[in-house]
Amino acid sequence: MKGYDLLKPVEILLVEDDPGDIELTRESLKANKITTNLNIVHDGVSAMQYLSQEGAYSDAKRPDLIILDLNLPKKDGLEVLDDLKTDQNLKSIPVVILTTSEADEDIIKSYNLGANCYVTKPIGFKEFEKIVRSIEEFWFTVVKLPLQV
Amino acid sequence: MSGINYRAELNDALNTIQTLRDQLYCAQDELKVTNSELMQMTLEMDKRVAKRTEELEETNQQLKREIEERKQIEKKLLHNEELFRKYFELGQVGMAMTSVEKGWLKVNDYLCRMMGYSREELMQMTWAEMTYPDDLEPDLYQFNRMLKSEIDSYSMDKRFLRKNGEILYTFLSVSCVRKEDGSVDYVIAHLQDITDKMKIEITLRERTKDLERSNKELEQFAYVASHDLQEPLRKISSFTELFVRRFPDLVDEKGRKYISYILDGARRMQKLIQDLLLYSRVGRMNVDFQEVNLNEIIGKIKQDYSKLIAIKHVKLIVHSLPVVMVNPTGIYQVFQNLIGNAIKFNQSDRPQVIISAKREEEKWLFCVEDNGIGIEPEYQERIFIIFQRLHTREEYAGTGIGLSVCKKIIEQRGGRIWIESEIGVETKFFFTIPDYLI
Repeated sequence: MKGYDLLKPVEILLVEDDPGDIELTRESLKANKITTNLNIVHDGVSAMQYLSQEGAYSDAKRPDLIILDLNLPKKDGLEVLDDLKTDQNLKSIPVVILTTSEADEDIIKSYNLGANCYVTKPIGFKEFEKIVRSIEEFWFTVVKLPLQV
Repeated sequence: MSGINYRAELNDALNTIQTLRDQLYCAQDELKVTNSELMQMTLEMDKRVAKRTEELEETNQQLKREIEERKQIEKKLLHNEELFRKYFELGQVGMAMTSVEKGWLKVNDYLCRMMGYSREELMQMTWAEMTYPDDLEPDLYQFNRMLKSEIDSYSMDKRFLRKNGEILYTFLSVSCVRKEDGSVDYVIAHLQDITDKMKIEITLRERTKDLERSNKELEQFAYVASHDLQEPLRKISSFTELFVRRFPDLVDEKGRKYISYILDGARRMQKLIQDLLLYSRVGRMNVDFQEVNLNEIIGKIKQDYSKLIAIKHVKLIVHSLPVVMVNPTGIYQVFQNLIGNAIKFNQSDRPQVIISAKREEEKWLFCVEDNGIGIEPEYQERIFIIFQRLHTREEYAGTGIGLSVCKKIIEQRGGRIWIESEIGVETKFFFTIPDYLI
């Protein structure tokens, strides 16, 4: 790990409304060598509250990585992405879009808004696990991220 | 005395006679001269008269000619007037002559019929009264430009209101004849009834709009359905896998077999949905036509299939192909599907695929030919239907989308696709690409 304290768990914010996918993500992270702290919010509004430590999220830790679904209730993933990538404080947090959508429009829009990568949800647990693991591995062992303040 | 006197008297008389005679001679001479002068004058006179007569004759002839010419002109004029009258009255187009000051000068029968008024009624109406309110402004604008000598004529699509309240669609042409000072003397209007044409056009426009809407809805539906359908599918396969992994003791051999069926079903469903999505996307990419070198396209496909070609020892023969105006992705899919099928449905020891192009009138004819299993005549139409398969999945894999996509792509480009085949011998897929774009 580069730039991270081995003993300190990695903070991941998962913005996902589907309980099945939350479960799959949780299961995929279980068998990993990296200690992760998976924080979950179920809609776009909560995601922004979490990131700004508002209300119930006043104790929320700044995530090291955000996994963001696009199809969300109240405020959709693209809006969340737009908000946090234009926020001076939040824009350095890497955002992985993890969605069912294979639409070119969604892919283009996501990257234009500053998404760090775009991944479509695969079919089957094995594939899902592989993808979550490679996301984790890439962002926490391969690339160098800015140190948390 | 008397003798002398007498002699003297005689002498005197003789003298007098002499004198008289001299005078007579003299007069005679003068007369002669006068006579000759007179003769001369008469001659001269005669000459003049002759000349004058000649001149008169000439003038007379000319006059006659002029009269004749005038008669001809008058005849022609009458003929022209008749022509004009006929033209004005019998023409299948509404015509009116108006003057700015005096209003209607002349209207033809056809115009009255078009508007649904009698001639008397029409003459009582004004141009503006008959105009469909929304169309008055643009007409007036142009008319005023004509009055200001900015233009001499104009034409436009214009609606009128018939007597019975119906809308009359016309193509209106207006031109003017000017006085010497340049001001408008009178105005000629031609009105062509285009109501039927417009009605068809409006219906067509509405229908096209409907079609576009329903097409869009259909595409949207296929798109949304594909995504939404994939969600539960992912749940089925993911949690089935997770279930087996977490609780291996709960599943025996039979259970594992069932689970493999569940997973296989889910995978197939996913493929079908992805194909459906692909098919619906064909409708959205049709407009982007550009010049494409088909030799390059075939080169790329050869690369895609290089493994398969090597394994099955396929002999791929490609004749020189043209450059055509097509959607590159679309034509790529067409050749990819046809070549893929030619290799897939082929059990020959030496599979052979021949791709050729032939120039025909205003189009290119392409042929993808193989020595494969062939297709029975009764199925040759059906194979272009979406998800239509002729073989079990055990025999040949696939969802049956390929040819339906080809057909959609070719037809969207204005071409046609068909098949000629002999069971166990060969299959030839033909398709055309016309020069014109639709």
